[in-house]
Amino acid sequence: MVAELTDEELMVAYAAGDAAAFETLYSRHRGPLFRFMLHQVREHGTAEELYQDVWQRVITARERYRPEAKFSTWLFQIAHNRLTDHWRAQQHRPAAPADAVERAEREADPQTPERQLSAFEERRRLQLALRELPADQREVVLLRLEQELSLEQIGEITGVGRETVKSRLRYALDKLRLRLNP
Amino acid sequence: MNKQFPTTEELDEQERELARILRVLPGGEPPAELDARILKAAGNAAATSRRPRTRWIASAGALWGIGGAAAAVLALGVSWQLMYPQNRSMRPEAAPAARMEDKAEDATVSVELKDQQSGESSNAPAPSPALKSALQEPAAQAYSAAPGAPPPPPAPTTAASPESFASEHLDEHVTTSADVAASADGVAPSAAVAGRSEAVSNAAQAAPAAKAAAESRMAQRAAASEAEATGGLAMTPEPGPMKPANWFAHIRQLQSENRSAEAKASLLEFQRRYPDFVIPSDLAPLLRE
Repeated sequence: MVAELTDEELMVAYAAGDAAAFETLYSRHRGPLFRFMLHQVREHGTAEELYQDVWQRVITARERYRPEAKFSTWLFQIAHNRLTDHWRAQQHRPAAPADAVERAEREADPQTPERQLSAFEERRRLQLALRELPADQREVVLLRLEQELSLEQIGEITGVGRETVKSRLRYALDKLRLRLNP
Repeated sequence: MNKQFPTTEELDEQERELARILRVLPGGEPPAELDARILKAAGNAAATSRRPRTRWIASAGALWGIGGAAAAVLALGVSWQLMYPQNRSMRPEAAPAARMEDKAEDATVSVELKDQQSGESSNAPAPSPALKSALQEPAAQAYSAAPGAPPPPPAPTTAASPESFASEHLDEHVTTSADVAASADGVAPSAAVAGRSEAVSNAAQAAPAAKAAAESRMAQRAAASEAEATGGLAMTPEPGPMKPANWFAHIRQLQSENRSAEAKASLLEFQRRYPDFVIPSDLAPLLRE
């Protein structure tokens, strides 16, 4: 029965003291949230720490939760805030190398006989391309591709307008495509 | 709870292709021990949850019970204020934040109760004496059942007139629960003003009873039920943190009055106090103005 409930219903149930509701909710979002964190910070240990912090904030804020927005939007908004704190604490926000596009173009060898990329090569290139994206663009593209969130939802999470999200997404997708289809 | 959220926008073909590759990138799962740690923390928190652990799918009856009890407590406080206005001088100027939280929560419950009542009787004539009596009953029960409730003090012989007290009482508040209720219901502000007038009139009606010491408890109950009927209008929401739902209602009201700058300032303050709270989509554009 719990498995049939929406995320929002589960969160409200958890806020009322139902630990089983949290377990179901957690199982639904653990993978996507962890991947989001890992792709953002790259380093496994840091990703684990931030991931745990996000869930801790969910637990702490459970009684303040109101189902006025999708749970996933709320969750990723907390994740976004935690990441912002992280970058601030690090005083370092990984930016794209100035020559990212040129490097991507250099790496692509049009003379290679292997025009069709292997699955492994595809993944490697996408990973590299993600790393080279500015953090703002990477965050938007991950929320769009992995969570399939709308531009409005991404805007709510990241605290910027729809047009800004659209612009960041377009730049990010162009760079990823350039990497994969030189 | 069955609120429908905007559906996600489907990925286009190129996005789908990138998403497919993205999903098979390595490292997609948190380690099991991390899962266990988080679930344990969640379980511990649930066990010590502020709210009692009950079946979370609350029946309508249970909700009415909770709302009724909260309204009864609220009504008792209101009647106390109306009967013994001198008690107000004992109130500290700056109440502790926790107390304000409680008041805000009471206001929320009051609004919910009003919604429920208005759903049934918004177009109905004034309640019959029998219905009034029925509405008074929970307040009376709560009063008599309250274990730590102090005995009512003797009726004041030189109490301020209820009209002047009620007017003063209402004028000093920027936001009342009736405002919130009006805003939440989408009712024009004039409805809230009308509600205030009704409260003044109600307070006036309660005055003779307040003066009779022998009937003090009866008067309390009457005033309580009137206050309940007007959504706990005579409550004193002091300036301080509001619950998010009330806060949003307040901001929406400012917007509807074309007070955009104040609305934005209020929303920014809200964000500062509740950084994890999702801003409703209808208010989010304010932040970008």
